[in-house]
Amino acid sequence: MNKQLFFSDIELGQEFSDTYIASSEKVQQFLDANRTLERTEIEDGRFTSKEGASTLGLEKPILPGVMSMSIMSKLITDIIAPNGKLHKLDASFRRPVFHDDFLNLSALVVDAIIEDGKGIIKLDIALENNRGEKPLQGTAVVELPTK
Amino acid sequence: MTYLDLHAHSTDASDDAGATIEGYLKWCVVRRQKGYKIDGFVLTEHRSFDLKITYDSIADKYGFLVLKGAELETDIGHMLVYGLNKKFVNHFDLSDVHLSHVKLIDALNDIGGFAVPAHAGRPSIGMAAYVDDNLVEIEKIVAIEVLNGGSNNEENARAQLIANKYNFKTVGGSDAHFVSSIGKCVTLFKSEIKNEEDLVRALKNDNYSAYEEQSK
Amino acid sequence: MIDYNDKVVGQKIEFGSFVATKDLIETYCLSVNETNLLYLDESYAQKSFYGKLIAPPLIFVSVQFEVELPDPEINFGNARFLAGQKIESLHPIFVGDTIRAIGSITDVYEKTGRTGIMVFVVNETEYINQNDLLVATRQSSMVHREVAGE
Repeated sequence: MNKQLFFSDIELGQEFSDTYIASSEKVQQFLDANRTLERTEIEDGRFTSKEGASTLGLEKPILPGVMSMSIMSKLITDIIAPNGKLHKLDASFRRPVFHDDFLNLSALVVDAIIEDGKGIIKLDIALENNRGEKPLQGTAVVELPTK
Repeated sequence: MTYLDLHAHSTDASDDAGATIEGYLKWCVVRRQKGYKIDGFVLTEHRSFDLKITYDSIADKYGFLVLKGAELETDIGHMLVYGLNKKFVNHFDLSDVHLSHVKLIDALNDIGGFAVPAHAGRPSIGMAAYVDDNLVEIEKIVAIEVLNGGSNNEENARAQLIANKYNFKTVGGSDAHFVSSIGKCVTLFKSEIKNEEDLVRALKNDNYSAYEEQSK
Repeated sequence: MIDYNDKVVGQKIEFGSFVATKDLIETYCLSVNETNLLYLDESYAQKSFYGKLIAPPLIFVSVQFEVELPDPEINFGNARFLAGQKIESLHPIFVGDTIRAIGSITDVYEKTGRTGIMVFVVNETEYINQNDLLVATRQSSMVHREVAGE
């Protein structure tokens, strides 16, 4: 686990990053995470097959949007671990993330304030693919411990 | 001279934005500290305009200018509109995604406002998609947005080609939806701008151009 | 103007519940390369502020329930995609917690984008644990549009 970051360690403009490869295996793992329940997901195969994806005009199968958001949340929880808290995570899904896309994740500190005695950090977040596109953009609000 | 970002969205009214006004202002301070030129921005919320709200107090606190406009959806793509008043807002349903650009521009001229085709080079929602089919009343257009922070290089280049062809003036705007995008593209005005009247006067009569600085 | 069944807006639906099992947490973590010991290492979690294993804050987004929202019968488009999500995490979800989900459609509206006209259906869901504590909320936006499929 990373060393705990404190509120005082943070500066405006500070950037955190990570990478992720959206392999088909990982997508299947994510879809399997709730295998104990009956599934009512969209059954067009967009997440699992080329044929399913092509019915929607997509060249390859894609990641569920919630998976992209979960991948992004991992970067955030890495930043705040172990004693920080995630308060909010907002994301817009602007383009699909395709299987095997190489993703660069970034979180940029855009504000750091003490609010009700808590160290609140606001981050602009983005997920960028190897084509220079940003399929996911959004914001996160986290709390870091104060010294 | 005034460097103004003419195109930004906030959580106050745009469904897809993740930035507050104060968030933008704080980031403008950061950008200035890094050497970027920015004197303020115009909130061009999607399909809405709040007549009552004013940002003067918070803008003064941070030493920037915050003006109001709107981004409306028309038959030739999206348009940034400035200098809106009660008469305009009562006349048009701003949530309509099929507004007539001709009626819009005529109404703005009537009230002393101004319209700029937004992200002119983008497919479907940029003017470029309609010019070749003669769907645009070219003589009613004075300036177009050729530098949009959310468009790719190809789309911005396409907009610039149209501006060159028809001798339009050019503007720049970040199309910011998130704090860190504000000021990415701006418009450089030769004159000083302090309010919406100054802005419209400058857009109609001034020398200005889209402006983007290299990363520092 | 969008043609749809506006009677479904505001109808509250209980989607069902899930248990934040170790298995669910481990599989979720594996899929997103999550290695945080608070989610995976029992002895580490016991010594932490939380006292036991907790789930990643977005664990509930991976869960599909048997019950769905009522169909607003949007008379537009031939495909729908997830357009956006807003999550608020209020309290930790502990391993073994039973979480139930209750939600409703809150808005339907139209706008235009690069791909043409789009219709958005917004819904909000509350996640409540076995102690009736609201642990998280989620606002999701689905976009309906026309796609050129094969």
